[in-house]
Amino acid sequence: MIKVNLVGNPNTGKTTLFNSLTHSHEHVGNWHGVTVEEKSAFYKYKGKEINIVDLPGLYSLTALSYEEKVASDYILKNKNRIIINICDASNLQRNLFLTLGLMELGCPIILAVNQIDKKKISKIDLAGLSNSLGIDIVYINASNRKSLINLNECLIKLNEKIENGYKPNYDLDYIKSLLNDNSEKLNKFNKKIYDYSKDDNNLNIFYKIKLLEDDENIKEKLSITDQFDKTICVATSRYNYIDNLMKIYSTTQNRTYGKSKLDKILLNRFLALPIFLLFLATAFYLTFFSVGAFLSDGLSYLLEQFISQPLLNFLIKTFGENNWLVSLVEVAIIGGMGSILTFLPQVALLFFFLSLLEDSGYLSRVAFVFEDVLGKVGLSGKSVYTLLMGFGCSTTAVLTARNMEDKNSKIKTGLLTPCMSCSAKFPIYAVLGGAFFGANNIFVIMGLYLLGVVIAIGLSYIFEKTCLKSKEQSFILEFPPYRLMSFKRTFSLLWQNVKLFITRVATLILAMNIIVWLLSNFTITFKFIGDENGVSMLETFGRILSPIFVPLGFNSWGLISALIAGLVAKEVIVSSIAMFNGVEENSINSIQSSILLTTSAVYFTGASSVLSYLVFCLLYFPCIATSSVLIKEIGKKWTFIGILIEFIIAYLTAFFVYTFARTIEVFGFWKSFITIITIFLILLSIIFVYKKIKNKKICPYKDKCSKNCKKF
Amino acid sequence: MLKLNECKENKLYTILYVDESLSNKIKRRLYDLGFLTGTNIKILRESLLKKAYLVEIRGYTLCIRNTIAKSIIVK
Repeated sequence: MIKVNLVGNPNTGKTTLFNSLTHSHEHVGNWHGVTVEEKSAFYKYKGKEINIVDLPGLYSLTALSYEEKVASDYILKNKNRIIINICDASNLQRNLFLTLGLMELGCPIILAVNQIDKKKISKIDLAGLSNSLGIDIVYINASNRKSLINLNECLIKLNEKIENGYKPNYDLDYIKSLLNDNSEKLNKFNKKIYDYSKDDNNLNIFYKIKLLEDDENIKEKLSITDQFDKTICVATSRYNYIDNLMKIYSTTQNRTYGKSKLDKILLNRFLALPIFLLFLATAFYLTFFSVGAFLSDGLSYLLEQFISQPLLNFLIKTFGENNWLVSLVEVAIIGGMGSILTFLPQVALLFFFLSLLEDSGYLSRVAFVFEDVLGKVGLSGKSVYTLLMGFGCSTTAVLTARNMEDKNSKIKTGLLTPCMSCSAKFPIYAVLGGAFFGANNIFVIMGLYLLGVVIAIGLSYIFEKTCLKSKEQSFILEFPPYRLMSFKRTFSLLWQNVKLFITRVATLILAMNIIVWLLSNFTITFKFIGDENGVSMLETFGRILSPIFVPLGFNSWGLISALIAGLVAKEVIVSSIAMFNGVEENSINSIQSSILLTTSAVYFTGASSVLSYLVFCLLYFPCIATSSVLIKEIGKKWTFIGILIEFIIAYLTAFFVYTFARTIEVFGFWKSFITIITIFLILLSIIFVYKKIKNKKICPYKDKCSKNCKKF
Repeated sequence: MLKLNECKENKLYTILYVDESLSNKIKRRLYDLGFLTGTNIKILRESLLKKAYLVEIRGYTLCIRNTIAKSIIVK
């Protein structure tokens, strides 16, 4: 078996190549750091089995952020695997910097020059460059399978050579003189280095270079504390060598991004933010209201006509009306699962728009624009990616927090992702909000999305000012070119999302629905309730907890039981409510009418309690999948603290929303508006006066003070 | 001799050095990316509140935060 690692700078097409070679469908995007963990797959070429590992992008073998550490650790641990080093043809200079690093480590390398930007005319003398560096170089187009034959041939040849005892021995003259100059200082550690590198001459040189660079990880491994301060010398000698090579072998006209006409508009100081918000609003409108809603209704009709009705008729014929199985299928599968399945078009569209943002290269521009705001609250422009992914699914979004360069920023980003309205929360808004607000629900939904973002940013600000100050967050982000999505990719994206959603509904949500059905149809003594009177297990449980939620306006046990069931997956909140109310169709309308009736098991007293319930659903505990990823990424302590804080925030916000909406309901809009403004003004003036008094206390010498301190 | 954040947009400057205020890790990353003495650099754009800069260096475009721009000394 041939073992291969895919290594390269961020956003050079590693995962695209991986997908092409192995026919996989790993997530790719036109953004720096989409891949955050190693992914392994197998494929066959000419009867040879090849194991290929896709790694996160790297600039050098010294990691700065967490996903880079994953990659560099993997390369060091598996030094003998062949490395396919992907380079962006339009930016060969900087890409070769990493190649030199890999050569210093003595890995067997194939350089795959990927031509991403087709407009660019690059003339690189591959044969000459290959001779100078002593490594094989091939041209590829990562997304085109046919162009990969050369690469595979090259791989087979290199593997044969290695099997016949070939060991890479690169010409490292460019850096040897630097090593000689510092040999006195380095020789002190010869024994320590030898303990780790043994007879591997390359590893020996690699450790020495890393020492000169003051690489923290290597120094810790070798337990060396001396400072060498030669980082800049190492980088300079590498770049000088590359510059010389480029002069001889390349006539590439570099083209930078961020200067085009489109960028002039999209990055305009004042227009940038409105344009982005407009884009988001349009995407949401198309997804949730016009196109999405239309497709969703159609799907609901088709499901009802061709699946639910025939299935139900068949079951009633064979088992009779009052069988428990009929009830299970009717309530848990048709009512519960069907109601979620109708959201398929909308969820697929939402993910599609998110991918569009990511693929087009616009996201990097957005990150640049948002750095102003996010930098202030202790995040970085890069967090935009995590937050937007949070609109799709928090579980995958939390993983992208590995992009952060600083531990505290990573914890912060991870903790605030669950505040975003993920695609699983949308059905709750659509069903419950739609019942009370009708066409105005669009404002409620927009409001909820906005509330999520505002609370996430606020939370980050509080963390930044208290316990999680970011120390080394730097925000260095490379700008990618704009790229149009091909038709093929668009369809494959949509299809992937549809498949994912259906699998989720058919496995996790179906299982959860059956569990909820069992718990809500059997008493504590395991007796089937059916049409008889009896108190189910969930009802008992819900009633015990219900006093806690009285201040929030949740008046029925079913709402609380649904929240508990929703911990597994938020969609289950909708299907549970449908089940408690005995909804037997997969249409959303029947669920909506059922929650308006006071005779139902689950109902809302009014718009205020619905609003407070929606806010609570948005902010309370993250789902189990997200929590487990959080524990893995940021540790048990912070996950626990974060979940607790989120619960408190959810409770308080829901309480305020309920009180506020209730006041309006009872006293009318204007009266409550004036009252609230008055209270607000009084509070403000109290704070103002308090601050004035406090300031005076702090600085009694203010008038005599010669220093012009800006604090006062 | 001035700091990168005091530079004019779309004018070519040459890097002199990266000053000591940055941590070793960030400095190393800048060197890896090619912010070395004698390298040409150009500011393409500033963000609204001047917290982020878009710079062109060695033929590619990079966003950097103003704390980094402040520590890059150019002429």
